[in-house]
Amino acid sequence: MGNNTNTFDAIVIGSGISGGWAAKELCEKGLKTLVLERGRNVVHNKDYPTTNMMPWEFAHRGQVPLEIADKNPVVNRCYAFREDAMHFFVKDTEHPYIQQKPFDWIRGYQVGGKSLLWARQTQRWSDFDFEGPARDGFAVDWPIRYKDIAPWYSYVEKFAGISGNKDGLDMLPDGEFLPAIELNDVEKYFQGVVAKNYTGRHVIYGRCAHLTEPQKIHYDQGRVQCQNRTLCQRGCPFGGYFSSNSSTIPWALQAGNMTLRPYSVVQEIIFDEAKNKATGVRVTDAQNKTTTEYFAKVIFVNAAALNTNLLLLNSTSKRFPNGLGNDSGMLGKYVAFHNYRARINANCNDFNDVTSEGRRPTSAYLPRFRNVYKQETDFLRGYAAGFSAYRGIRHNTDGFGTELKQALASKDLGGWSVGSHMMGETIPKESNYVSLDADKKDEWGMPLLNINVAYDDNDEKMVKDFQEQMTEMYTKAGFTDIQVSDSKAAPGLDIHEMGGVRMGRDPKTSMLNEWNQLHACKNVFVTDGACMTSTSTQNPSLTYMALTARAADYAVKEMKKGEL
Amino acid sequence: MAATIIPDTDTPGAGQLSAHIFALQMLNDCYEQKDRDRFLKGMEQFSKDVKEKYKKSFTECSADERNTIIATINAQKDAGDDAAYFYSTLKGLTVQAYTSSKYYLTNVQEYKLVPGKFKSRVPV
Repeated sequence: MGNNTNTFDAIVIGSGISGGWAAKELCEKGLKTLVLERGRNVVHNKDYPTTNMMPWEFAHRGQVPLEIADKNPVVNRCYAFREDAMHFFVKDTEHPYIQQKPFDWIRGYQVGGKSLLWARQTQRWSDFDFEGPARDGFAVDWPIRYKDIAPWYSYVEKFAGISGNKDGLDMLPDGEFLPAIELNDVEKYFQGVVAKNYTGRHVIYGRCAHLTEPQKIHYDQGRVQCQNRTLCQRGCPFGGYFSSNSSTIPWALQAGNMTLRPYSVVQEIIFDEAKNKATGVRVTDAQNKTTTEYFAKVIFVNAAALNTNLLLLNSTSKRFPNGLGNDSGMLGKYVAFHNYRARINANCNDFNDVTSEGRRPTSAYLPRFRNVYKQETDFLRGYAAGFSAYRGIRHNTDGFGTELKQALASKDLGGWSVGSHMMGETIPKESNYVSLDADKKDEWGMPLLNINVAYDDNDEKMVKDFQEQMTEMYTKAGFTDIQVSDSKAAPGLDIHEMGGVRMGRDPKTSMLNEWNQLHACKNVFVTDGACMTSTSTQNPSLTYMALTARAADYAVKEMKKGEL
Repeated sequence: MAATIIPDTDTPGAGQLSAHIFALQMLNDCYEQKDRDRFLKGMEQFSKDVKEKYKKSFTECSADERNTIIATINAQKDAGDDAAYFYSTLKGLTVQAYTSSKYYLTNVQEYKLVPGKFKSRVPV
């Protein structure tokens, strides 16, 4: 066993959106907690180098120079990989992986992880989601239902600060909301058209993790009102949106029990056969490559979905030759994601007498309306959609000289445009999996991850259905110049990869129980995207936060009972 | 040329704002080699055309002559022509340099780093 300085009550692997929550909960409950992060430290406000830069201060006005773009084709496909935030993304060249099938793996290796970069949409799941696999006969039954997680949604929402309306919808339960930002006139018009023409279809305000009206709990975190900068990906000096950096990590630090160790690449979780539990982790220092072991009674794995798979697969022992907790052979399998391929744009020729002013961090949202109450299409499940209407100053740049200069000074508005994108549920399958490469290793000695994930016919049908249904809704609204598109983007670019360490009732067909504990190694909890049994359509981060807080609460209670 | 596309008047234009420096930096850092080559080829073609017609370089031409030259190429729609490619690229970058300059975003169309309130409905 290690010495005192290397021994803690709890270890949290990863400091992103779920790791931050694990750190906060465990530290608040009095556990001496070591938080391991493989990247550098990013301290709120101190380490946001571009946050207050004006557009003209960027040498390429936001564009990524070709040399960087060419060397990093995967991350360069991410919408947020721009000159102002590219320092928060993993470059392809620095951390290779193997695409057995095309997969854009977007990663953020720093304290805070991708919580600095996320799109901040926070829709709850409902029982239509948790009961989906059982009803529709795919994956395995979720071991929890909405009632199990509902109080934890409330718990994390109050702390994170979620802006939203109480919409009273079965498929998207209401939460603890700060005021919503009003939709604009065209969005409200579309809302009305959809309500009038369809049963079960709704256009609502997209709930998001922004402080529209901060409460005491947010001021206590040092966060203030969102200023609608929409420069979130740079890190927010106001703490206007929720990130680990602005919220859970400083909170955990203040609780006094946290040791944060950046540059810590966890190689494996150490399993002790005699004790029949995990005792700690082996860490390689990312900078000087030395190896150290740390020990704790309980371990939370929050390394981000696919890296959590990688770590467990690499944690082998005599008891677990195929990866920690992997008696079932399920580890790494049933990986799924969200299908974001289809988009629809159009013009709205009305409402020329109004516009909006300023910027806003969210848009409208259409909760899933396909196959909600019963199966009704030739594909399983369905999709949600983002929707927004916008108009701005439009310049005529045909001329040159003083004519062009005058045109560029014009404040004349163009017409309204509308746009929508799909967020489709994908079906977890055994054939969508990750595995360790037998030969290739990275600079720190970790095997490279093979990624074998692809779309299927269900996804193709859903793309088509989104295009058809949205075209019909747009047509009913009288929108013109309707353009549908299919980006054919590889899986992964949605940045919602999930599964591989799924929850379930039966240890023979799942890795984790209803408390996110490994069935076969009870003091290891997995509460990031890897735990997801199915994907639903909602942006998953809020659910990871709630599952993490719930699991941490359970872990501490079990420890007090002497069960862990 | 940039200064003819967006002239300095009683307010700064492409000349005073050194738009050409931004344009060259963008060409160097953000354009594919084949596009840079085409830009240079187009620039040579353009210079040659001017020389043939006016017996002097573009910079040696009078302001009126420069306006006539730019008016002609600005009206040209053939994107397949290298000189037209050179011009449309330079014009695009000049407009970008001007509209993303501190002057423009402070005095012409104000950019707010911290907008504060979003108003969902404002009468036009």
